[in-house]
Amino acid sequence: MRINSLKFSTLYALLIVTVCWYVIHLLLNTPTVPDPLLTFSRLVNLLTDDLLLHLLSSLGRIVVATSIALILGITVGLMIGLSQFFNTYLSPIVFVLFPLPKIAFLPILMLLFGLGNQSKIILVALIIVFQIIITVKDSVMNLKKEYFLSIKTMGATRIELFKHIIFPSILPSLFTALRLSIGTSISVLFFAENYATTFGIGYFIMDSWIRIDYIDMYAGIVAISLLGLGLFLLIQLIEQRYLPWVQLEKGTQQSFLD
Amino acid sequence: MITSENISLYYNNTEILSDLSLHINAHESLAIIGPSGCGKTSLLHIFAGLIKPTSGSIFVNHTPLLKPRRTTALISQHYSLLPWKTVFENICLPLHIQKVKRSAFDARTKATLTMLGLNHVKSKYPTELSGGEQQRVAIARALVQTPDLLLFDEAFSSLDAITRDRLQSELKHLHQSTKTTMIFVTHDIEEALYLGERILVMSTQPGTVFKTFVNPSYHNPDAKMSQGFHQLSNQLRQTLNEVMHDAN
Ligand SMILES: Nc1ncnc2c1ncn2[C@@H]1O[C@H](COP(=O)(O)OP(=O)(O)OP(=O)(O)O)[C@@H](O)[C@H]1O
Ligand SMILES: [Mg+2]
Repeated sequence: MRINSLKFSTLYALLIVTVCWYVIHLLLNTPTVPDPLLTFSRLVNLLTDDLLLHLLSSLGRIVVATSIALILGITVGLMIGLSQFFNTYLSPIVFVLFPLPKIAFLPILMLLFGLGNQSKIILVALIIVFQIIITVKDSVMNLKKEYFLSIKTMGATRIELFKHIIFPSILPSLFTALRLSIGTSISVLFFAENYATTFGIGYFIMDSWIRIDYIDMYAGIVAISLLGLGLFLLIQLIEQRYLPWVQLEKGTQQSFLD
Repeated sequence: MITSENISLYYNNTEILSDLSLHINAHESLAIIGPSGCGKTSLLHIFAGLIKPTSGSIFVNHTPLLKPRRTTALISQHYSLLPWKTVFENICLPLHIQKVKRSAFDARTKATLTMLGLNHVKSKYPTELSGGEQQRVAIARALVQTPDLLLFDEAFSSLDAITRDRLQSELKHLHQSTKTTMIFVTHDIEEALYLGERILVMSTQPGTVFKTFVNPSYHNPDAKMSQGFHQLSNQLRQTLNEVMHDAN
């Protein structure tokens, strides 16, 4: 997908979704499904008010949590992928921890790290870090050993092998993992922000719900959705801009069934 | 150029190469042929300094070979190019690694691109190229560092006949004009006869030198048509049969 068509297809999809929403609003005719246009204009008003602050504090948590998860996940993933020792002693632990429902550990995290930002950030990081570890480990282990032969013959040092082979090779699946993580981290945050905080988009939505202010609630939902969409598109754009070869590897769409 | 004295190689207590002694002259072009799994790739990797023989010694230019040297280049059958680098970047790589000065850099890469007729693909990625073009780029990358030893591991075996013929003849010209020492591992008797001044037949595993042949038709411009070519071709085929027969 080229950048222009990405813009176009996003706008197209947003339009269709809004039209569907509007139709449902007309059909059901209940305050539970408010007019999308009303919601959008409320959203704009709210953004100049405190909704922006809620959004930014959620975004901040996501960025910090993702950065921690990336640094930790890449490091551990590389250790397991590159060293027999760590593969033997570390990967069984990762394997056992990966499928645990980490969200259930929120109470423990809140007891350990307090009710504030820390526990929420740690929870999100904890959930996405495993995905990153496994992604990195798999892509390192699947690296063709032929890539190394010619380069080593040229006399490359370990650092050069990292720079020219290992690091670029993990990028495509890292980006895929990141895209998946965005959805996960926003959902998790929505949940976690209902505990012991008064800032964050999750708090804003549930607070509007309690206040039976459905237009506010919808505006919040639209805001959190746009946040997710925005981050998703950002990752997509970075990938297209800086990793053009990934697009080539994936190939263009083909009609295998014709 | 290369002297190996009684080298042997073991992988997990299996003997892969056994008591192999061989001398390769500077400026020589040697073809190595042998049954699958006899250790040709392993031997080439020993020459490249990528692996050490379990016993015996190996000298390059009279000094013991302990690690890869920057003037050796290895070209393998598959996946030799990095998919995340363009053709130009792939070819630059050896210069990066050898810390060649930026100013000399571009000129050398451009000259190599031109020499191999790759200018029109220089900003493409390897996946956008045909198999023949990819191997041509791999050869360009090997040549950009002005190597004194070129190692080919079945570098042409996945190419179509016409592309293969063309690359072979280009390499033969290159050998005759630059006198770079070249070693070609191949499965193909014709290829061995066309590219090798000398042809080494290896035995089945554990691999060692079974027989070597001097190739009189190497310097003949119409090598593939000549009488000597066919005679030696039959002789080689027979020797390979003997190798297989001995193994049973
Ligand atoms: N890293 C390794 N670990 C264990 N065994 C290995 C390793 N590399 C090669 N071998 C074994 O060594 C033997 C020789 O392998 P090698 O690749 O050198 O053969 P080859 O002559 O190049 O074969 P082919 O013609 O099929 O390319 C094979 O039996 C192979 O299984
Ligand atoms: Mg081989």
